Parts: sequence; C-alpha cells; structure tokens
Amino acid sequence: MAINFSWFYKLTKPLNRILNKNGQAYNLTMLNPIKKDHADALRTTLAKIPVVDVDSPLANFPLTHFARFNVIDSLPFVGAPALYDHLQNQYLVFSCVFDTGNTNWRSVGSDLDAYLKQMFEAMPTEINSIWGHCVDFPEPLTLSAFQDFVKKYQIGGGFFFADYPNNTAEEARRALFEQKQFIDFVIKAQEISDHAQLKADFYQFSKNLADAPTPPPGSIFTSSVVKE
Amino acid sequence: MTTQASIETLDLEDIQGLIMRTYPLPCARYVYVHVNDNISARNTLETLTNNHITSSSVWQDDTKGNANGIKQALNIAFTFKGLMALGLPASSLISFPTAFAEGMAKRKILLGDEGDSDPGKWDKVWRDSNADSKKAIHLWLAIFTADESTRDSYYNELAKLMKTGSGLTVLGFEDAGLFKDPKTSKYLNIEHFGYRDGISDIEFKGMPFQRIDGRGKLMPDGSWEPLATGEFLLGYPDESPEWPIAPIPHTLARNGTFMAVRKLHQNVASFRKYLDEQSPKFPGGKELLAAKFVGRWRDGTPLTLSPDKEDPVLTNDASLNNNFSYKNDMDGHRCPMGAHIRRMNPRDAMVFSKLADRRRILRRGFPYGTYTPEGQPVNDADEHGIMFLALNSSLERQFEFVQQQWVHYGNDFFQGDDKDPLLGNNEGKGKMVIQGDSETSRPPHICTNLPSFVNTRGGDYFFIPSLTALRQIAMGLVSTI
Repeated sequence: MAINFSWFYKLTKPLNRILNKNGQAYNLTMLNPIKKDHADALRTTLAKIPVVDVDSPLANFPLTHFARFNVIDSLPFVGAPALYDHLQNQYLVFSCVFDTGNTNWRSVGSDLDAYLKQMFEAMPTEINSIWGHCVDFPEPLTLSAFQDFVKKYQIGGGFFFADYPNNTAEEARRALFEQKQFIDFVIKAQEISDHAQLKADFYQFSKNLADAPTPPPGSIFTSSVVKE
Repeated sequence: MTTQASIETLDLEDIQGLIMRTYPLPCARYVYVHVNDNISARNTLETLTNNHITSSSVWQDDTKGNANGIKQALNIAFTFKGLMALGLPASSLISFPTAFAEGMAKRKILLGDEGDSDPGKWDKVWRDSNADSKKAIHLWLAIFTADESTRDSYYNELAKLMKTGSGLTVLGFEDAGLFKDPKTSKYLNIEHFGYRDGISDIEFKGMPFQRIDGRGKLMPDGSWEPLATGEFLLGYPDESPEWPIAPIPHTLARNGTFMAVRKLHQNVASFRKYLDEQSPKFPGGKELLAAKFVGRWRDGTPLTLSPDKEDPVLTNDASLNNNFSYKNDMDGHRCPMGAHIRRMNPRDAMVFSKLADRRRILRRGFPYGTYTPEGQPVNDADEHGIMFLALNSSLERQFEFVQQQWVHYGNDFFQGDDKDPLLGNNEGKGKMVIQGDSETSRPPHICTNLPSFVNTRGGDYFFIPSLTALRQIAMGLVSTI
C-alpha cells in the first residue's frame, strides 16, 4: 500500500529551505524531469562541458564552491528478486554549494535569487542548452522566469554537510595559494643564516603575498611570489 | 549456528616455499619463459612440479631455528598470458582480477611508471614481452641456491628440461642475490644505497615459525598478533574478515597468491650526490639525513627507538628491531611522517592501525648488480638495483594501493602530494619535510629538488599457484564445471 506523504513535505518545506544553509554556505539541489527523448542529447551536452578548471562555465560566477550534474534513468534494486523502480521521467539532478556571505537563515530566499542572478548573467547559453531539455523550461527565458523554474524543481537539502560552512570559495582558494607560497618561502629561508636578513625577507615576502592576486575560480596553481 | 574452524596449521607441502619466508639461500636467478606449445609445455610443467618445485614443508625449523639443510630451491609463477597459453578455460580466466589480467605495463599511471620509468624504456625482455606475443613472458622460474656454482649447475639442469620440444622457450634470465664482502667472502644483507635490508618480514597466521613481535599486526593494547592468512594466501579469511577475491575453481586459487615483480634500478650516484650536497644544510649531518629518508639508520636501527644514533644491539635483535609503534612519535619528530618505512607500513601512524593491516605486502626481493662501496666512483648508469617481489592476495588492494597512495601521494600522512623520498618518481621536483623536534629545538627541514633515486626497468603481475593447482594446470584438469 502506498502512503501519500505529500502533506508532510508541504508542512516541512519551510524548514527544509532553512536547512539548505549551513553557516554561510547554501546547498541548491534541483530534480528536473527531462523531456521525452531528450536525455541522450542532454548527456552529450553535459559531456562536452570542460572539466572543472578555469574554462568551465561554472567558473564564471565566483560564488560556486562546486557543482555537479547527474542524469538518472531509473532506480534498480540490487538483489533478489531484481526490481526496477521505474520513474515517470528521466531526471536531471543539479547539485551545488554556493556562498551567501551571511549566516542569516531568514535570507535563504534572497540568497538563492542573488546566486541565480549571477548564474543567469554568467552562463545564459549553457542554461538554455542544459535545462532546455527539461520539462517546464521557460521560454522566452527571463531572470525571474528562471528563478521561478529553479524554485519549482528545487528539493530540500535536508541535513546539509558543508566542507567549509564558514569560508567562501575565494577564501579557500586564497588559503591554498598562501600555503603554497609560504612553503616556498620556508624552503628559501632555510638558506638564510642572518636573522636581520631573514626578517627583512619575511617582510618583503608578506608584502608581496598581500599584493598578489588570488588565483581565479577553477584554479589552484600559480607562479611563486618568492624570488629564486 | 555456524562454527569457525581455527586455521592454525597450513598445508605446507602444498604452498610454494618463497611465500612462507625468504630462503636462507643468497643467490637467485629469475628465468623468463615463453610457452610455445601448450601440450608439451604442460608435460614439462608436470615434470618440474613433481621433481623440482619447492614447497614450504622444508621450513620446519629445527630447535635452533635453522631451516633443515636446504641447498637449492625452485619456484614458479604465471602471467595472465601464461595461463591463457597453458589452456586454462575461459570460465576460469575471466574470474581472475582485472589488474592481474591487464598486467603491470597497462597500470603505469596508477603505479607512477612515467618518465624514465615508462614501460617503453624498460629492459628489452620486458618491452618485448609487452609488444610481441611470440616473446611474451608466460612463466617466471626462480632459482635460489647456496652459492653461484650451484646456481649455474642447477640452471643448466633445468635448461635441459626446457630444451627444444619441451614446449617452453627461455627468453632470458636475471641474476640477483646478496652482496659478498670482498674481504671475508661473507654475504652482506644490504642494498645499493647502503641500508640494511630484509629486516621487516611479515608474520601471518599459520606460519610454522616462532612468533616475533613487530612483524604481525599491532593490537589496540600494544601487543602484536599475526596477520590474517587470507591477506597473503587465497582460500583463507582475510583481515576484513572475508574470503579474499579469488579465481575459480577453488582448488586453483587455494594456497596460491599474487605477486608483483619489479626490476627497480637504483641511481646510486644521484643518491650519494644528493646526500653529500644536502647534508651540510641539514643540522644533524649526512647519516641522520639518510636515516630520515628511510626511518631507519643505515644499519637498520629504527629512528623511532633510537633517534640519535645507530644501535648495534637493538638492530641485531630480531625481537626488537621491528618492535615499535608511532604512538609517541605521532608528529614525526623521530621518524618523519613521509619517511619510507612509515609509508610502507604506517603501523598506528594513522591512529587506526586496522587501516594499515589491509595494505601489507610480503617482500621477497634481492639486489642485483655489484655493490659499489662508499667513496668509490659510481655512475647512475651502472648496474645497480633490486629485483623486487611483492606477494599479496590482492594486487589492487595491497601492492597497487601502497604504490599509488603511499609511495606517490602523501595525503594519508598529512604530507600533501609529497612522494616517497626513495621510491617516488620525483624527477628532480620532489620535496620531503623532516619534522622538527620541540624537545631539542631542532627546526623542521625541507628537502627539495629530490631526483628519482629509483627507476622501474621492468616487471609484471604473476600468479603463484599451489602445488595442487600446478598439477591441475599441467594435467589440463582446471575445470569450473
């Protein structure tokens, strides 16, 4: 006997939306039905997105920590007897973690709007070529229509675990960058025996490091600020 | 209700001898053989099995702990191509693990065999084996003898068995063995970089030897127990505790194991040059720097037990020289977090020693080439190296994991992407952090521009069957029905 839980989800939806936030990080998960016979074309589109580096369209809006797409066909039960839980559609899952810059749980709505605005401006072509294969995709595409579309198919993150709940993606990139630069400095400093020289070099290093730009989204490695 | 029979005794007469322990025989010859005719090859294999292959039953020690009078030994192993050539049914062949079926060369990225270690640059016999199906290495025969003349005469005896019409073609062979002290003619247990070798042997359940602390697995209370048999022999429960993944039929797998053979060339000149150039910068000097690379002084004394000096009493006592944990050295102030032995066997360095128990390998290697004493002219191109043999139930879970995650990556030990200072394919860009000591105020030291001290020159994956399985292969009786 199937039990209808939809009333329960309606009741808990406001809570779920709040649970999408952990610290200042927000977890957006969408489950979009794919239009009939579009899954193959969608898979091809996704396969051609450049791997995660500075060339990825997702690197063009700096709030994103990470993002992933999955196409779901149907749900097999592994065991005996073999069963398929046939879905009415194939689905596209989009899941990402982005920075909101605030820890206020009341602002979840405006946080999401702000992120989607950035995405809309950064990758309009990709939004069309990816979600265009999904049911209810708004045409013509406007920002508010896109925001409504996302919210309609958003599902609650539930118990959201964030790797860096209190640090932005930019802060994480900066920390990795500074760690690498500092190791380079320590290696160089091993050869300096004069304390005054070491102190002067460290001040110079600190200044160079402060002036050095943070590597762009999608990148970690960059040249050293420590002079050979 | 199920009951579990205790596995305290093994069928020693069914298990090939080199699995159980390194023979007390200092000379080895590894012979690479191709099967050119299935039927006659199987006849020859039957003769070899009945008359020559050495089992583990010779290992019953006498009261003094000596093996009983063994003068020569022969063991045999097969590549996947070899099992195909000998006519194993497809239903059995497809049950072998993927890594074994693919062979070592195809796993090169995972193993770090790139640059100068690339299979395209390996020795001819190994390159030919990968490139030419008529020269594929199918069988690996290992001869172990008490001296060189016995080795030559025993090899000649075996070569007669493998003459034309035997179904077998010898593609080549390689000699290895302990170095001889030129003055005393005694055999020395060291390798080309000058470190004492063969200290940390593994102990698993069912071995017919007296237990020695430090060789098995570390228990939560600090005591030592033998590792589960199934980590090193197929057909027995492993540490998980489950049956290790094994090919079918059961009689083919039981009492057998898998082996990675690697010819590892050692760049002795680069190693000595690096030590000479870097040690003036390292507070503690050259010998301590050499010890920090490995985690043992060159005489074998563990840094964790004796951080300041070599200790002959400690290193010569088998019950002490391997009997330590990293409990009081978690920050690496004695044995660096990235040192060779800490990577190869982390013991409790990752807090849960259980994690290390699933990644152990039996080592049965010998050096090859002539030892060049310190101070004598030496070149990287000189013939120096180790014929490295790693035996385990799962090449993927044990040998390959260690090679990929612990030799060529350092994250498990909080060392970022630093590689093993000795074995890592560092290519001049390697880095190693030698942690400082807050007690003595010794600052941390970072070694940079580490070259590749070791390059791969050949190798493959082999299956070492039991004597029962050997006879079944020879008689064409392997059947999954």
